[in-house]
Amino acid sequence: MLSSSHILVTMILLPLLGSFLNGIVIRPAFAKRAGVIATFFAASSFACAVFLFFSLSHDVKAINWSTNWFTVGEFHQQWGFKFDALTAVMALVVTGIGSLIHLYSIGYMAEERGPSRYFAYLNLFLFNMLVLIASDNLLGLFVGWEGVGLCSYLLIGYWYEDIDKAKAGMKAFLVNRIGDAGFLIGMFYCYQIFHTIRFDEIAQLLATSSQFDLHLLNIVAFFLFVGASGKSAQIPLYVWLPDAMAGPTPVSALIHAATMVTAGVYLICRMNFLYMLTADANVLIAWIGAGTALFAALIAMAQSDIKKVLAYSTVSQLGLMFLAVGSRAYFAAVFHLMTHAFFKALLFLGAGSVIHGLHGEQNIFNMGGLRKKMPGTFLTCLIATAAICGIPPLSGFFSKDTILFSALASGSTQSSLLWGVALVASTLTAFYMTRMFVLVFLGNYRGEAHPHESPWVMMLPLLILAVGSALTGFLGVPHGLHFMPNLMGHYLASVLVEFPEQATLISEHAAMFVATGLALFGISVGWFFYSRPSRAESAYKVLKPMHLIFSNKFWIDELYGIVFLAPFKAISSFFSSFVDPTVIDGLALLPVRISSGVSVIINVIQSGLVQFYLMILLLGGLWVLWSSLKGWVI
Amino acid sequence: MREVLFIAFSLFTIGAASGVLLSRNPVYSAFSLILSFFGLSGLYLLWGSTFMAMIQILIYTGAIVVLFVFVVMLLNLQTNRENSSNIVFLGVVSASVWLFSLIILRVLTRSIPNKILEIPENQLRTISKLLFTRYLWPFEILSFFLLVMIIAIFAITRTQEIAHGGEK
Amino acid sequence: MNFPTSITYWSHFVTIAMFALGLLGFLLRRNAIVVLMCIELMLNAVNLFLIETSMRTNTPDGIILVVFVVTVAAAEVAVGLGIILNLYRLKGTVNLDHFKSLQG
Repeated sequence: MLSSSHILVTMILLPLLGSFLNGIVIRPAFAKRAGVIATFFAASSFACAVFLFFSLSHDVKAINWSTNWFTVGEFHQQWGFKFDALTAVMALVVTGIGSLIHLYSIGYMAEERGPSRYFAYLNLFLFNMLVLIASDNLLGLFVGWEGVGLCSYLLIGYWYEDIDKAKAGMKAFLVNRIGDAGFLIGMFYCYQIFHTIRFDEIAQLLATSSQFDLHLLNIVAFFLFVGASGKSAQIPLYVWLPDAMAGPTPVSALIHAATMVTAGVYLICRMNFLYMLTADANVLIAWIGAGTALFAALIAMAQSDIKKVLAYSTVSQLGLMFLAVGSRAYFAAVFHLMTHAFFKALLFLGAGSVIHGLHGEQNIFNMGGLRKKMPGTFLTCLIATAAICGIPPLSGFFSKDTILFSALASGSTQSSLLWGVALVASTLTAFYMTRMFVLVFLGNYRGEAHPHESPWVMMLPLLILAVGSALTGFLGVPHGLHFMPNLMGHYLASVLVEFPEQATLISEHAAMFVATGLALFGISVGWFFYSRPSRAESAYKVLKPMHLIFSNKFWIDELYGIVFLAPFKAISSFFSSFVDPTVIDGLALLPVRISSGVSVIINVIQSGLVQFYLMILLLGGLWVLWSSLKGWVI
Repeated sequence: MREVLFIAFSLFTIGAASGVLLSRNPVYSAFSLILSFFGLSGLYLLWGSTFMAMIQILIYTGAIVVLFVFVVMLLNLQTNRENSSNIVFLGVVSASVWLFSLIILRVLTRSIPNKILEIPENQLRTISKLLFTRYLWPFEILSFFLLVMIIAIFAITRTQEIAHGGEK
Repeated sequence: MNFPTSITYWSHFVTIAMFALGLLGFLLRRNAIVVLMCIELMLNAVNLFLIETSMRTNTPDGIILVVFVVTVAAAEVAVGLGIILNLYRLKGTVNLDHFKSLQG
């Protein structure tokens, strides 16, 4: 009889099996076969997630499974998985959108030479992401964390023959590594303070006793946040995400929009019992989140590659999610995570459809007029763009407004300032998304290829995601609007602690109006300037310096190159050219040289002449005589 | 009188030994060796050992040095001096030999009591008796040893063109 | 050091002088045959000492030992010369400086 915990393990292991089949056992040569296998396993994992979702109820708060892993001294580590409400939401999003992207990839990667590798990596990613979200302790989560980082590297550098793409993969992995160092330090501190790294035990310790030093808790929170900012692309570790667009577009959709980059947000929400108590860390998180949101939005305004616009948009939206967790609004963050997964994945898949239809063109200034040529893509992307701008009643409106109001109501001294920054970022989001949409779909076609609509395997996921983008907002209607209960909020209340709202300057309704009004303003500005090329050009002439700064990404990559990479390379080359051959080889060869030198000296004795040997004999005999007869002779 | 003879024969022997050492020509060295054996023989006589004096002349000068001269003539050696020119070696050897001899001198002068000489009669008879009674074992083994030496010399010095099955 | 004043001790000096001379020649001369001759010198020095001691203490054992020494010396010279003959056949010279194949 299969119990729920068995289904839990099955859900996690199915994609691993698919990866194994595709990568090692069968290795099909055609994308369709590999894709079907991979999609089958992803979809069956989704089915398990649905089953487990329905198994949770008022009585059954979580489904657990664990087995022994290793024991070192007093440290007993289990492979433990726990399926509770938060895991349910994450699992449904990950496996659901993951399956859709697997289906989409069948069409997108149809002409690939070695598709089995791609689909193997994709399934492997799904496995690692499930390990991450289902783990009941920090170490298991870290295993999944590392695994998704690895799959990200493998998939970004999928077309590794192009050295730039391979470098982008390495950049992603290395910047992630810096975050991982922070994660590890946080985990070690956590163990030192609580003597456990299991989430439920830490929650219990924090709830029952109050003798923990707040300073230490802040330190743990800070280091875990460093790890989260590495994975979720916040300042200063966001630089890998725009470069990660070198990978195939479905990869960008899955990993860098919907799932992997949200792992940082998930980590903090999972540890919400800790972050509730650490005010100082929360201030830092909120400001970094808001700052990243604004910064990325500024850069996105001047990008000309369709995927780069979406990449910076993702960074910006992740900043909003971190603003939410910094304001202790964990439900808002998870809600936005879910809606963002839908519309960002949809945007990326739509961009992939456009790129696929235009046979590889990615510059939005060479597109246009695709409304008539690719109507399906146009309609779904319209819904997604509207969602991200925050137009009611689409999902983005509800989730973004929840975040904005939570920032305002967080009760800290800078809440109004944070809200203002987030508002500016949202307005800019509306502006540049409209800019992109107008340039891609409206007007006349400026390019030279023959665009065509994509096949059904690519259109079906777009359709499903569009439905999701439109409707999922209704799952988390805020309290201010009274027409529906907050279904998701109640569902997640068993896991996420509610932070009571503080008094605010303006009411929730007013804030909503302000936000929506600004969004509409942004859209109209974008439409105004970009629907006629002449207006855009005149604006460009005026704002040229700003455009220069934004389009060069504030030269952050170059700055990192000078500050961090150049000294590191200098040190490395010093070590490899001087230290290694001279010092280390010298040390290693020192015994050789010493023994050679000594043997050259000793070889004088081996002259081969008998009389020489006999003289030595005489000397030796003399010595014996002297030492034995010394007292007697003298 | 005896003392004078002692001194004379001693100096003579030492001089002849130096001659062995210092001659360039190996034949001259052989002749110096003969002279030193004569000196030794005289010293043996002065000590009263008539038997050994005769044995010395007979065997040493009559057989061994003859053998030496045979080989020198056979090999037709030249007279050029072939000594090593290594001063350090020379110095070390000389010093160590000098030291060695000093030590031995000291050892010897302490170990033997001072006694008056007596010349025995019938030394040969005494020695022969001893050889065949008390020292019979070593005597027989020595003869066997001489046989082995003869065979060894044959084995070492024969050339390969000699036919099988016979010793030449 | 007490130097012996009696003449009968002179033969100690002769012994040692002959032995030292033989040792010197043995270590310093390069001609193999001369080296063998120096070995004979050393043996004779010892013979002298043995005979002197034997006569002094009136025991015949020293003289017996000298008999044996002389015999063995003769045999050894014969074998040694045989070996030197072979060396001459091998290298064409009896200069000991040329026999250095054990070097190194």
